Amino acid sequence: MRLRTFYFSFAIAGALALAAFPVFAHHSFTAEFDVEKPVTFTGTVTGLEYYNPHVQVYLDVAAEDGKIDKWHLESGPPNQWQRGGLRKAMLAPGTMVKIRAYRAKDGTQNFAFLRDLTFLSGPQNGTHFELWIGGLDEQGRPIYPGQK
Amino acid sequence: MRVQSVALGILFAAVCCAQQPAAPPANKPTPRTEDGHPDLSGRWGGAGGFFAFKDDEGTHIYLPSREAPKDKDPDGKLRRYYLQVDGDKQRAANPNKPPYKPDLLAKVRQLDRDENKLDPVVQCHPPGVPRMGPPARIVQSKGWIVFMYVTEPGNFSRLIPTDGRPHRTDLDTSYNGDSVARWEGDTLVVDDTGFNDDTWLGSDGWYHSEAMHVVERFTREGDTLRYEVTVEDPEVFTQPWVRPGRTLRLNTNPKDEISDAPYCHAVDADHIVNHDHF
Repeated sequence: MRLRTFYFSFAIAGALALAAFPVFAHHSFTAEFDVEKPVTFTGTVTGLEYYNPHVQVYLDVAAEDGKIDKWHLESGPPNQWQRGGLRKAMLAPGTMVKIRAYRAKDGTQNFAFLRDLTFLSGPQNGTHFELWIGGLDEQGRPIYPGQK
Repeated sequence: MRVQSVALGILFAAVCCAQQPAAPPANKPTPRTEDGHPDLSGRWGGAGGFFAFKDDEGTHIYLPSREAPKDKDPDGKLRRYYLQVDGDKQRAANPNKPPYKPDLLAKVRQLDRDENKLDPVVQCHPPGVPRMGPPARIVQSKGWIVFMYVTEPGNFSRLIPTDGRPHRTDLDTSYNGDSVARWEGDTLVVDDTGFNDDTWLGSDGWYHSEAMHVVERFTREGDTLRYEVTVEDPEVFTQPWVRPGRTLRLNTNPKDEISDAPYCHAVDADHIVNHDHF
């Protein structure tokens, strides 16, 4: 299996201050998701909403009892996907992916923020996309969501 | 962690160069239109603060929160990207805040606290002038100039007369207001009035009234564009607020050209559980 990894990132606040394309419709990750509640699973894509400011991904995940859990994942903005090479067509319904994500703080079942995904089927089989919030400034120092 | 140099190059191209107040290249003359004014036309600045990089190890990030910071990492892969600076402290340390009247500061603080529910842009409302910053592309023609913007709530444009006509007085208030422009030497001065009050000036609860008056100044030198903004609002400010200026570079990368905007739809407001915001 071909294994390629794409790490890509977005510097939300950096964009506020620096770039001509402002990025500011986001809420804070920490207002909604818990970095201490990671979850990993394999599922089948059932739908995708290519919305600003957050792409929404829907998955069917086989549960241990034979049932199907319906998962809803929130991701970064479409611009992050576009610039990182992740295209919505790659996540056509039926595509199998391995997911790492962080659960919602409000306790909503099967709702989480997408950290990374690895394609397990289709043309991108084996390709890994890492999506995270943050980045580096021109000196290589971290840019973080609270920065202006 | 080693970050590959190729990736850093991408980073510089996408983020860094958009912010650096670059010295005007001495050998780059400022292009001019037939009437002798500087031609501001072009694609200006970066493309959204997004960049790609590769590293040779896993990485993880600490996300600043108003909750007590917890030094845990789900994968045990703490790296240099583990970020521990508090956004609130950053905001508090910002020396250039709008000069609100003292009796309004409590309201600003409350709006700031509730930003992740009350900030209009979080609900995909247009950011408006001047929050959306300088235009991503300028198209200049005789008597008119067109500013084009890319924002997450949507792509917007402004058609602004440069022939000396006065403001219209027959318009309702709006997100971008009514703008007229004139040349002061080589600087284009854009005067904006007629705003609604459904925009903020920043995510810190910086609201304004419909009395807001904005003056934007655009100065091109070679392949750089200086953008400066002054905001007056006698209803809420004690004096005009001069926002930090920005210098943008001409961007000739075709991949950074404006493309159609995805629909903005805030789907998850009901899941917000605290007051954290950027």
